Amino acid sequence: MIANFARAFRLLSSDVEPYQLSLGICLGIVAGLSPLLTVQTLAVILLIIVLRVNFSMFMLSFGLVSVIAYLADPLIVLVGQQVLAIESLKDLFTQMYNSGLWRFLNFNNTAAMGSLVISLISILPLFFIFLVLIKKYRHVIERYLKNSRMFRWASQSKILTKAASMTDKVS
Amino acid sequence: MKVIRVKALLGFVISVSVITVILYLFSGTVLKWILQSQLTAANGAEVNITGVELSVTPLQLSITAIAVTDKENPTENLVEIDSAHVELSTESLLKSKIIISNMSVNNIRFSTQRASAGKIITETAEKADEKSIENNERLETTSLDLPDIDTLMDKVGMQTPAAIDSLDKSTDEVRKSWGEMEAYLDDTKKWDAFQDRYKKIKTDYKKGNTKTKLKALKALKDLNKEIKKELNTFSVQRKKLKTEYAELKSAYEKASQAPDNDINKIKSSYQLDGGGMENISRILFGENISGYLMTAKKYYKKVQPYLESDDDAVTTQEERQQGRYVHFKDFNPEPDFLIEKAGFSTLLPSGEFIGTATDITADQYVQNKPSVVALSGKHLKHSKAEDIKLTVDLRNKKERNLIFTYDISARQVKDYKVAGGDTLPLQMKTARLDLKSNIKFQNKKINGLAECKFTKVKFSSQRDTSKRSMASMIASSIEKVTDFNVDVRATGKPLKPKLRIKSDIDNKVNKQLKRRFNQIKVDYEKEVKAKFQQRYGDKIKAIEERMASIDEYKSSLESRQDGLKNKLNSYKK
Repeated sequence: MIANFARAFRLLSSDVEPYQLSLGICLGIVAGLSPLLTVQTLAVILLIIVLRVNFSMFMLSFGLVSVIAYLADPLIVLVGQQVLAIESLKDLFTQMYNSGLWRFLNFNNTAAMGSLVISLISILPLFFIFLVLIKKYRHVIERYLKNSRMFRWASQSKILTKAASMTDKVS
Repeated sequence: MKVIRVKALLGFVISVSVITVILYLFSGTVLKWILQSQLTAANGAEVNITGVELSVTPLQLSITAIAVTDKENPTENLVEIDSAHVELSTESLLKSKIIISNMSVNNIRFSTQRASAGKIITETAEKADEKSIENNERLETTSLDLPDIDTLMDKVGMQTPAAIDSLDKSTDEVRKSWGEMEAYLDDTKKWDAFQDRYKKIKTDYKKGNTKTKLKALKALKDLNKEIKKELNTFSVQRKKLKTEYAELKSAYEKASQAPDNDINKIKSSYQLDGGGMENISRILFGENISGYLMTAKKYYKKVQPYLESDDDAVTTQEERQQGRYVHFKDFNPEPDFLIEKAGFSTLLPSGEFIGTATDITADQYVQNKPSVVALSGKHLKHSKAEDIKLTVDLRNKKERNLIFTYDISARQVKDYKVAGGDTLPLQMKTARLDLKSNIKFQNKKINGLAECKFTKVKFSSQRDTSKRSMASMIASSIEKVTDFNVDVRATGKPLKPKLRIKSDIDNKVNKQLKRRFNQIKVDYEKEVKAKFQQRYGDKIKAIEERMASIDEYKSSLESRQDGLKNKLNSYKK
């Protein structure tokens, strides 16, 4: 975990395109929210393979969101339950329910539907938010940190560099 | 800025394609291994499959040469199937439901020889269960042999010898007691002394003076006193004689009745009253029917959990660890497992049977249709037609029904063992059988009726029909029957049903049987009596003679006592 964080910080400062990092974080969130094999899980797997997404960032956000989602499960289930109970969508859901593919993708599961809805609503805003934040980090915070005494001391410290390389090896 | 990874996309497509091709190529081997191991575990003995082929569009599975080892006899196959073809619905499979839209199973054969013995995985206690059923629930049949009279006399516990012994003992005691009485009467000196004394008194009184007369009178008084005492002794003795005689007479009567009682006892202990003859059909068919019943029970035990379970088979909503499944209206509701239509052919010893099975599922309530299996015989060796139909209705959880019908038309029966064992070895040499049977299992109870109509019957008995025995007698009477009906009704609990066998053969056979039976009964009784006479005749004769001599003895004692009594009374005057 520490290694992942260290790598994430290194990535933030690397040449990797901000959109790749932001997309990795967002896809990690989407995959982490989903409890079962769902539409979004398949979509995420496909997007990770096809698009230039930063995999380390994806793994980090997936791990973090899985833990958070476990705690937020009642809320996700409640959202799914509310959505599946929308009267105007009943016909659509009934059609989907009678389709083998949709049933295979567990669309009628409250947790799956809740996570899908939350993912759909949040993915675009989050993508842009993280994009802006990464850019801001690189322009403002990174520059400030690089000039700070503590950063210089930490980067020159043999103990910290050794610890970082060790955690890298272990991970 | 390149957003799409072309190489990765290509790699992904190639990887997926390679995996798909590998899976497709080796699917048969993988499926064969899975099926073999799963079926072996379920059967408890080795199951062999020669080949499995899978095609994706449409989803079809073809299995060739399935051999299921009989775990009770590993050198044989329980079932051997040449090929099975299954068509599955892909759409339903995505919904986690196994729906077999069409299935064909070709050439099912039973109890075929295996090339090498199959491996046994688990031993079962089923065999022991069956044996216990066999031992406990065989129908009782009446023993038809007339037993050996000597053995019977030893076995029954006869009264006669004891009664004779008791009478002998009593006679000896009476004789001893009466001997003492006789000795008392034989004391001539005593009685003569009385006479002498009386004569003397009489002479003294007639010839003597007053003093002598008075003395004589006193002597007479003393004599009277003594006579009275003797008469009292007589009276006591007479009473004793009467009592002892009455006791002896009673013992004698008991001993005289004992032979009759014993003969009756012998008769009743072997039902010489003909009670066992009332239901000939039970004697004839009971053993075979109990055999069929055991087979039925064996199969019933296998389906019992489905028919008698009160558990809810299906829950409409599944609760999962994460989330809950919301169910919408299903346009085409399907159970979790369903065989919509299956066709099969089987080769039985009686010929080829073609069958169909429709709507085979445990969740019948979903489609509201019962499961039906129908078998029809074709090119049969011995029958014109044979139809078997099994309807399993599990739609109502509280009222699970199973209806089994089996109809046979014009079956040529040849060398059919009717009654087996030593009781009555009877064979139906030839006959034509028409059978209609209908068995219902409803509310954990059975109600079945099998109507058999036998025509053009020729019976043959392995017994010497000229020999005089009940079995031979029945055999001889039955041999004259050319057609008859048998109705078997089973009701009550499926594992312990009440059986009622009714047949017009009873009426047909009974008339002549009763006549012959009566003759045998008379002869047998005569034989019993003769044997009895042979064994106890001398003793019975001896006790009669002894009794006659006792009577004589008694009369002589009484008359002697009376004579003495009169004599003594005459001395009183």
